[in-house]
Amino acid sequence: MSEDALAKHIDERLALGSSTPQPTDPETRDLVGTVRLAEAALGTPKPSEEAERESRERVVSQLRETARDQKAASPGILDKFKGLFRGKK
Amino acid sequence: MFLSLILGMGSISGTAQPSDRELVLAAQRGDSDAFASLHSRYYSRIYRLAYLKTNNVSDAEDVAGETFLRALASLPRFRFADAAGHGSVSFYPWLHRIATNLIVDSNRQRPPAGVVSLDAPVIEGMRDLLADRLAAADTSLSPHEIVERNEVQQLVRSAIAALPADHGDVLVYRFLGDLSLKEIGIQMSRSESAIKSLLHRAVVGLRLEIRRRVDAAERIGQRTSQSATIEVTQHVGRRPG
Repeated sequence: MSEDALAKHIDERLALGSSTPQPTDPETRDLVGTVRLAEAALGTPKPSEEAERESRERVVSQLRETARDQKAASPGILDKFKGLFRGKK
Repeated sequence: MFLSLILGMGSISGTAQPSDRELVLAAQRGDSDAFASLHSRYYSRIYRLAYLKTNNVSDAEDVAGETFLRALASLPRFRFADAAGHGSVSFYPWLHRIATNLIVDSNRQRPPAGVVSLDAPVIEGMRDLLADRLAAADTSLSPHEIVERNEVQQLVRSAIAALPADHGDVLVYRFLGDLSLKEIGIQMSRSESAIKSLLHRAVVGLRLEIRRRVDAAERIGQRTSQSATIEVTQHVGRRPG
């Protein structure tokens, strides 16, 4: 039962934050502080905005490059039709 | 077929937040904005996971950046679930696995931080917080102030890193990855009720580990202040009584 109560409390804690109601189950109430500490510790530290931006720019340019290469390597839909018409002549 | 091609050609638009599945499908079609959205959604979580494991800002940034590059390279092969729809609806577990493998491969896993220095009011406040004496707390710090303290968060992170691997994983998946018990169960190949029980044991274990570290910090604090007393009394030519 306390396992259910703790899981429910954590669900509420993650959804409602500090306005989460205090659990009624005494064993779960005893773990409230630990839950708050775990949530706070795993929510920090924040990464630097510069590192995040650099990483995002790197993956986006990589994806664009790959898409460009694929486009250059494979025939487009119009090229396929051209081939079809050429074959009919 | 042609209709699905046309429907699939547009970028993600609209005001509602697209799901991970929609973003992944769009990114697999080459939509860079979609992958940028996934990056924005998960970069900080992956960074914090890497920081937890490496305890170092620069290593955490390297791991987080490399995680997304590897995810991008393997994106064409990525599938959310089987045809029956069993599987996670979040992109996070896959990124989590890539980041964890990177940390293990590069052997950069550092020992968790040692004893953190805590002031007496913080020690007292943490004891109150851990023993559910919040209302009766007679310290100068509110529970909110204690939780927000950097050294307290450091101590808790090192306590999580010291837990058995499956206890640490379930806490990270739940609190950092924000995965449901069902999703965690899929990642850890266990039933939902087994994960519920594991989460309970992990939180109880974490409380014990934090208490142990608070005790250690207090002992070190007492030793430090005792040696300071000795130093001062020797300076004035008397021995401590």
